[in-house]
Amino acid sequence: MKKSIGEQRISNRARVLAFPAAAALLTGQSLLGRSVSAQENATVRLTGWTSSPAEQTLFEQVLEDFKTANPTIDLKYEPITGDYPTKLQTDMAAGTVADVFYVDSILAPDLMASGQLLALDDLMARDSVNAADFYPGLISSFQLDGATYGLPKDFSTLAMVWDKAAFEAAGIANAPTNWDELKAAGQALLDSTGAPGIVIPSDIARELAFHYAAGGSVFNEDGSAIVFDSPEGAAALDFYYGLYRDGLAATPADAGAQWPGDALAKGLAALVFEGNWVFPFLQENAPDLDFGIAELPAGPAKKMTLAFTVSFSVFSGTKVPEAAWTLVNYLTGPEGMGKWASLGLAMPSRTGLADAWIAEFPERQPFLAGGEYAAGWQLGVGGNAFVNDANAELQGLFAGQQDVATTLQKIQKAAETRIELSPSVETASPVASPTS
Amino acid sequence: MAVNPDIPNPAHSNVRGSELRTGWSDRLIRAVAYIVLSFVAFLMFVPFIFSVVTSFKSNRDANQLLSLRTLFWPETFYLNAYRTVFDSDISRWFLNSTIVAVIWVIARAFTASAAGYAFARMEFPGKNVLFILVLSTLMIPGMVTIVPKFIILKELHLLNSYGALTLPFAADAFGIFLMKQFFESIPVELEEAARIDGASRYRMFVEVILPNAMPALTALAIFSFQGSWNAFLEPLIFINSADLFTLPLGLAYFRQANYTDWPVLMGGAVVTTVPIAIFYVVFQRFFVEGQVSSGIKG
Amino acid sequence: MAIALDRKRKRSRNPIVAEDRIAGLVFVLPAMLVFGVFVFGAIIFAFYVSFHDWKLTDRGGIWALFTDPGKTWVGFDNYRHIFGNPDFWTAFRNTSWYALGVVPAQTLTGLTLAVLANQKIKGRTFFRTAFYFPSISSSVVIAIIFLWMYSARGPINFVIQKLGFPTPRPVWLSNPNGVLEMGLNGIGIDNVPNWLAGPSLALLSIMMLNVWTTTGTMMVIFLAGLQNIPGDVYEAAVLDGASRFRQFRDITVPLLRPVTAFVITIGLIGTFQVFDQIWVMSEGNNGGPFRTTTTLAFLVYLEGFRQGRGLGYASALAVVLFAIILVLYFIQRWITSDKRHG
Repeated sequence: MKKSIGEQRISNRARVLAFPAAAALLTGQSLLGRSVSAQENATVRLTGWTSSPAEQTLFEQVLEDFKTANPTIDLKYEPITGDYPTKLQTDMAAGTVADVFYVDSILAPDLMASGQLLALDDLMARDSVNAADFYPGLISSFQLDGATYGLPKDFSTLAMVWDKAAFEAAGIANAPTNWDELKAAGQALLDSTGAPGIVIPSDIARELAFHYAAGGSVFNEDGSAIVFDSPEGAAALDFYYGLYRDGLAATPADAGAQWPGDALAKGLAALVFEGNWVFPFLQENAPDLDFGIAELPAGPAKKMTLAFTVSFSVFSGTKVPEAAWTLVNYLTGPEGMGKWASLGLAMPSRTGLADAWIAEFPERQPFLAGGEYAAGWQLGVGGNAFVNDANAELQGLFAGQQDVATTLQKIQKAAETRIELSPSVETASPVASPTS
Repeated sequence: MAVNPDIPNPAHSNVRGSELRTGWSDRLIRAVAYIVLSFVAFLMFVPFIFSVVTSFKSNRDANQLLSLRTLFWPETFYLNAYRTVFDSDISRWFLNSTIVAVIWVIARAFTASAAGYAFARMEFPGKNVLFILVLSTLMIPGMVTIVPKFIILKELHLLNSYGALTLPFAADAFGIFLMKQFFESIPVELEEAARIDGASRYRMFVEVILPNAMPALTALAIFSFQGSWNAFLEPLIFINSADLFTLPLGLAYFRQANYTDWPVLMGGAVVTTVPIAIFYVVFQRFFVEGQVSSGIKG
Repeated sequence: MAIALDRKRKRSRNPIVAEDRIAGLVFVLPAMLVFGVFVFGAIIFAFYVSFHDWKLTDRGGIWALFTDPGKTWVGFDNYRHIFGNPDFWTAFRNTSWYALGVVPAQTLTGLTLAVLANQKIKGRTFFRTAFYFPSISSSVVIAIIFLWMYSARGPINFVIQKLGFPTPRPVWLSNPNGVLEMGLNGIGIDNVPNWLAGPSLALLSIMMLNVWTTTGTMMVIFLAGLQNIPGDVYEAAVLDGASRFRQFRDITVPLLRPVTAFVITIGLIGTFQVFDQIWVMSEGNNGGPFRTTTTLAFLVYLEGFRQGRGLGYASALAVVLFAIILVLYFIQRWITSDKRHG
């Protein structure tokens, strides 16, 4: 009796299963070939961080365009305020994470390695999205073992921004182009106002640019060892810290500001090293400030800067991969990205859009130029944790608690402890090929 | 129960509680007392005064070097900061905090009075052990249980909801002590009378005890309200959607979003503190009593 | 044996007592249920998780710990790593300085203010209201206000400059230099060992903030304790010719012992759990500067929820923190009760 019922049940089940499978087979071709916008109503949740209310408003404009073009997709934008990496990971652990979210390049390796991101290659192939359309250094930040896990939405590089009036008052005619000139300019600013004119944070996200410019690296040739502690690294750190030690520079807190851009806006700094994000901030907080822009001064070894990028990625456990991809594709496609970049916050990560951007913001050319030789802001799995440790050591250095040599050693040790070495990791590759 | 300091207790001598006078030293000490206390009271208020003053400045003015005058009075009054504050979701945060606080109070009033009554009046197996267990919860730091609570709430699908902010805190030891204290001080005759009328413990509780428990319940309500209102760690870990932020959490993120704008930050602080300040001044006696009663005897 | 006799006796008495035996349990049930799940169960759970290696980003959720414990089981590794990790000892040191500074400060100021407020002065209620007010404000609000107070152009630096002293560089909350070390350096002693450096200026700023906030609470508790001392005791002492000072030392202080013990206990437990202010005020929001404001409780958060070593490690850390608090509590009990007998 039981057996026959069991058999019966099995055969029922088989029948039930067989139908959709058959149906799928039949319609499979048409399913794949069907254009995505004809999909049933799907709700896609998007999240990211907001660096300012101004930026959020701008971004929402772009989202409005998407909604108009895709009426069947119900888009919910829920930005995370505050500690983004923590919130994102807590959400993942709780299973409540959004479908599409920002991934900063420094965090990408960890997320890719833990399988939280959806591989996009099939979808890209289907919709003819070419990875080569993006700057190689940017998109490679989001690729692992030949699969792409996110498309960069934009990028910023570090450049020098200064207060033109303060430079004039100090008698500085031209922006410094190397470290000696930088020191001289700092001295001139100090002499003219009695207070340090440069504001630098005790942050590895800035010091690293100097580290590379002095010829230092984080990984050795094949990525099998950490080589942060090196004579070049010591030279860079000594120079960077030296600005503070010798009174030519102050930290934002000492100056009475929260970050260098804030110091510049409040007239508490004359020269800072920041990225594109400083422009909307200055527009809102210091609209009358006449500022100059130039590439970072060249170090003893070469001209170097850092490129910061963020991707739109899809959660690997999303229930609406098609709709999520539609969103990602739009925002990183020529139209969406073009609109976003035209708002002036960051530079387009598609090589094809560079000319239009320069045409609109010619004075910001140094940022784009930096893209040709910039190093990506990525340090492998564990990179973010390393950054926190390195910053703590820099804080100790700036406070005089330890000297340059000790700090270097401890940063080296932090890198060895926190970063998982995998010899295939490429980190210091330039964003763009030199001829672009 | 705490004693009202302003009503002399005839059972004690007329110099209640303080060392007895020995002449001139008495007046000297009193003068010192006035000076020191006034100065300290000033110190207690001054940060709030500063924050109010700063909130009315423009961002530029707030970053100028201070002078004695601008410390206590803005050169020019700007209302921009408050515009930003009210543009934020602050009313949403207030609402969430209030809802959570009300649920806390109701839940705790229920669990604390029930348990407090049992410990005060009833003999039951394991009473002493259970009481010690209740006592021991005081010593457990929030940090120890936060990870397991997170996991438990996640499996109950309560994360990111009012439930996460209220269920784990539906009972607390202070409340139980407070109610136990109070019930022990109610004359037994009331219950004995009810007993003669044939009431069960449950009826006694509802019809006799609770109605007479208003003072203690009020103190408990205020105490619990305060605890819930200011909770930060748990909302930080358990809540992820902005529309469920309670006030402390919303403020913390408000600070991160506006961290370069002191007047706006101070405006947020002022707007958050004023309602509770008013509430406190009106009901201050209950605030203090709740803290004290559970403390002294507990 | 005695229990069985007891039960027999009780049973032979009032049937209401029998009802109580059940009603009692019913009445405590709601509270014990909440405690059982979210406190005691949580502690046991924390123990269990502490023997595993599990990060927030690990897939499979928490059930992996139960269904496949072998995969994540690491035994005592987390505990071993804790004691071998300099971050832990830094946090332990920071938290110890914190408690060592804040508990006596808030106890003494609370007591002093209470004694002063207890004199025959008018406006005692006003003072009590004023002092208790910071305690009821949100810790986040106070932290934000003090962020400004401690900023480079804030009132505290202003007052210091007006008094003619130099302001600290780096500025308060960014300054990782130990205050004891700075003091010793000031009088010519160099090479101060790490563990003697004292709390950093940043940590000290938060400690002062803490004392400012909680002095009122302690004062209120002491005040009530003082007022519970009957006046007759003092009358008798005066008749014996005792001075005010002797009265204070021989009557007030001993009679306040239980209250003092209570204040110290809640002070200790409180300081070992300090979190909100650290979160809002620590440089880079990471327990800085130079990890000098990382307390044990904050380290649990960093390791568990902030790209640290995972929730397993954080749970082990939390268990260790709990053990420390328990030890402190018993030591404190032993000291105060010893004094009583002695």
